[in-house]
Amino acid sequence: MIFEIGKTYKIKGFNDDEIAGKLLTLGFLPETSFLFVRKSPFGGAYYFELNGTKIALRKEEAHAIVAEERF
Amino acid sequence: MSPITNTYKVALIGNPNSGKTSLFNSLTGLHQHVANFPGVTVDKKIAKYQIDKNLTIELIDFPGTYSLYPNSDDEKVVAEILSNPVNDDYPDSIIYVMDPFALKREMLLLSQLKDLDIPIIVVLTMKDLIEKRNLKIDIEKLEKIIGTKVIFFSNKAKTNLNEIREAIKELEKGKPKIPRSYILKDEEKKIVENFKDRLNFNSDYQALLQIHHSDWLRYQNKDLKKEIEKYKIENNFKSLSYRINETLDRYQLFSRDIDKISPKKHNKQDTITDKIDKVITNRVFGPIIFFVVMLLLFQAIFSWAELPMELLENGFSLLSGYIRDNFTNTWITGLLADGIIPGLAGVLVFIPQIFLLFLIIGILEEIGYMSRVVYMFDDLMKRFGMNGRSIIALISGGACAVPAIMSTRTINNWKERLITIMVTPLVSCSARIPVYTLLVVFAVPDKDIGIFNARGLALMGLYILGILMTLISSVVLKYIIKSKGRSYLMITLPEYKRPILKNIAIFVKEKVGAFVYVAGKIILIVSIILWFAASYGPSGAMNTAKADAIELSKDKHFNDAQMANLIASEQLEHSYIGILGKTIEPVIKPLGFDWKIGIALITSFAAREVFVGTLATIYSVGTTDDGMKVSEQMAKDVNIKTGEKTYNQAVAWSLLLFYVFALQCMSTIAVVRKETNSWKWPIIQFLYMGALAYLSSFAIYNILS
Ligand SMILES: Nc1nc2c(ncn2[C@@H]2O[C@H](COP(=O)(O)OP(=O)(O)OP(=O)(O)O)[C@@H](O)[C@H]2O)c(=O)[nH]1
Repeated sequence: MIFEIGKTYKIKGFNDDEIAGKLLTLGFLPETSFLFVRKSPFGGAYYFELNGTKIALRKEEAHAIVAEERF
Repeated sequence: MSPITNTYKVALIGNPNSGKTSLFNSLTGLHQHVANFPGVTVDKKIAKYQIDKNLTIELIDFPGTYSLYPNSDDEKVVAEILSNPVNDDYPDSIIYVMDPFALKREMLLLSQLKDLDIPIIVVLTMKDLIEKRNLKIDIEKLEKIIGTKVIFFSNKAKTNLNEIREAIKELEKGKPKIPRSYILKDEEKKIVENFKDRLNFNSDYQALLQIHHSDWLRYQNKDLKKEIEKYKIENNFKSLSYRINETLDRYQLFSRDIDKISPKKHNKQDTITDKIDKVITNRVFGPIIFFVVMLLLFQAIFSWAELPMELLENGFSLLSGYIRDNFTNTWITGLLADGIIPGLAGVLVFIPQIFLLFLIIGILEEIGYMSRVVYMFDDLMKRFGMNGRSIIALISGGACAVPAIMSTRTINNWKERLITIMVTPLVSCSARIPVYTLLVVFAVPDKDIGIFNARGLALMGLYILGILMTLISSVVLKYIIKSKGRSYLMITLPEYKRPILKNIAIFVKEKVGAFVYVAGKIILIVSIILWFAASYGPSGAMNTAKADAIELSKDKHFNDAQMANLIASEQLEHSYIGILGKTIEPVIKPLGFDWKIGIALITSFAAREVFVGTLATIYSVGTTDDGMKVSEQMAKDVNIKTGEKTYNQAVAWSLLLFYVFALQCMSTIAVVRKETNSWKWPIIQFLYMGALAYLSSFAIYNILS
């Protein structure tokens, strides 16, 4: 899934079990919302905000999240 | 309760950045007696801590982790120990450390711990921050949700430290009942039931952990592993799915209640961390700021450390001179003034540099900058076959490769971690500083190029050369080493916090302490052996050397002082160490090195900084000029027979390049052996770095001479 900077998303599920297992322990839970804050200088890592905490993920890790935009 | 022979063990466990280490420091203090040096043997830090007259506990600081399903070797330590009741470090009770700003995430690990049947108390940290921001947390409600005692605490103010002490005492007196969280599903119960006679466990969940982690747990025997594997396949027991479902179920148990009491951020308003990160992790400014920070780091090591280093250096030569002048000349004064003191001085003079380096690294870590660096450069490092976390290792490698290599445990992917381990020693560490500083004097004239000092530029160049080679080697390794498993970034970026000074003080004290202790010990031994080997030799040979020198002096009409010098140096040449140096001379001659340098190369294999100490000892024994600094003695060193200076520009550059590349460090080899669990990698590392060193020295020597 492609994310846009500055938008908030609500997690619906994951398309990769191994990554899902790890993201869950960081608090990326179904029905939780997160904000895509910015990209890293070279574009390969994303800076997210989730439940008031900041978490960085690689692009590929983020793409394992299935989410819908929240308005 | 606890048997008298065993101390009561209390484990500090929590998510990364929850404040565990701060709490450890708050409890034990600056004068803590830490049983093992972090950065030397560490997976975990242990301190004996006396709570009151009758109770001494062993406090264990574990690596931070998000769950008992670990991502990296560093986190595996926690699961390995907590799943095994017969482990030596298996705690009698747990202090679970929680950051109030990430309650929900942190409840997950706590809920797993509750199912282990170990008594727990919870310490909620950052009380000062919650109060400062006018937020509220209902501790009583939290206690109800969790089912254990909760102490709200600030590692800054430390007002209710006593409450924690009392709670530990209570725990020791009797086991409070800890409510269970998760109920095993039928298939999970079945697999536990099936293996229950073969496993050693206190709770069903603990047994389940052993079954989930069967593929990597070190304490489980091979036969059992095979059977568990077989059972999983035959019964279609997919560990990963069960783990995911368990995690989701656990969140279900507490999420709603925790959401109600979690402190809420004032809506939409940027926090200080948001504002700082807007600049510091900006796509353009971020890298620029990082570059400036690194420049500052170098500036600090090179210019701020200069004065204290000079003071130390002069102090030591005064001390040597004083001993020589004021005590009768026995072999003991000789050993002290020419062996031990110059040897130790060679190392101890760079305490200021190491202090500053670790101080700055410590501050950057403590305020939360390092994880931003990891985030910003992860993709760049990936192109070199590494991980964003490798940057932390490479930067700490600028201080010392040993703790740097240990810090790679946070990298979950084996290939990325191995490459980081293999290239980190190419970053010029602080032990090279004295070697560089000493030799650059002979390699570069003392003049200015524009606003820069030529020698300063040369030093900078050596560092850059090391970094370039780090990157080149990593690219080469990237194509050679096979990848195992996937790699992850996934890192939480903690809020910026005003540093707790005591944390930094303890961090620096530990690092500098380990350096002085380890390096000092090696150097003390090496310099004693060296002094004896340089002062004594096969007795006939020593006497002949003396007679020959007297003969030669008469021929050349030397005055008394010149004659004494010649005797000393001829005797050195025929001492045991001289013989050794002479033996290896043919191998190093193409690089421009004589046998005296050869001796220093051999001894400095123990640790690079020994090079300076060795030369100091050799020149002290080999001349009669007293109280001179090493560099002065080296400048004066000429081949008496040919009259040529030993340290010309070509030799100096050749030596410099040798030290940029060669793996001259026993401790590094030992730690690589330990971290890679084989001799293969340290040997490969030693050889490839040695080849780089030899070839580049050979090239530069032949170009310049
Ligand atoms: N203001 C304030 N800051 C705290 C408190 N406790 C910890 N900190 C800060 O929180 C950060 C993380 O603390 P650490 O003690 O290093 O956390 P840790 O859990 O040991 O982290 P890891 O070693 O990474 O697992 C540091 O910057 C501390 O200064 C507290 O009670 N009040």
